[in-house]
Amino acid sequence: MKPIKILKVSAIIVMLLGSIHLAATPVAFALFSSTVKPDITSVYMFVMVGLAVLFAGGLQYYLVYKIGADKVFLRIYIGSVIFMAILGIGAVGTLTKNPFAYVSLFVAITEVIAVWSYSKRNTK
Amino acid sequence: MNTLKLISITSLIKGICFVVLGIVHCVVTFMPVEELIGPMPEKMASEFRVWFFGVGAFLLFIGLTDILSYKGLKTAFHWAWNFAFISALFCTLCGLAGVIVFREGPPFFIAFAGIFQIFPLILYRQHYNH
Repeated sequence: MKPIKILKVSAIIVMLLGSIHLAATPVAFALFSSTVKPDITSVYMFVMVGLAVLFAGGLQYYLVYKIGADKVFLRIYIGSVIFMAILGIGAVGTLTKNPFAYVSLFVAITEVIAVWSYSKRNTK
Repeated sequence: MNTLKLISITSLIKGICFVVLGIVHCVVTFMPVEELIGPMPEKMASEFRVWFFGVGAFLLFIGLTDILSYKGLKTAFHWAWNFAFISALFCTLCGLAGVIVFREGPPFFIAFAGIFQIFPLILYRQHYNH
């Protein structure tokens, strides 16, 4: 599979993860409410992370079609991949029982490999 | 100073401010949670840290996007306008949501920066046709 195709698919998965995160807000906090009382700051941070992942996925999808045109697109793409990797590592570190945490880390690792492979091929 | 230069400098300043704010947000994550929002059960505290750090990383990422689109905005590239507009729109939405929730603090600055950037971008959209 070509790196560009992998990046395209992973960008769609990132957008899906962001949408799931946002859609899960009421469910997640209903689960929390059964044991602890969540405060408004936690809800805000939770929603912001969902929006951030959606933003990163949308930006990646837009960039995939332009990545070869200018170096700046590749740089921004690398920035978004680093952002996803940080979130993936953090999610796996704290949410050990959540399958979406492992999905986000797997997607981030796939993107790192695909971007590295793409930049290696195109800088020769 | 011409319009394009003014818009690109606005984006650059916003980018630098967001990078600084993002770094501060990420660093503050390592403070005890009690100092950030008061007492919280251990079950939620660790997850709160990830979300808080995630927002910091997001601010850092938006800041870097703004800095990287500076040259594109200066030379009137349409893609740079798209990046700057989406970034400003997200900042405005996230910032306004934060202002409603907290009523003060960093979300006010985020909303202000977003609104400050979005108006000149809409007003001078016709210049970005490359």
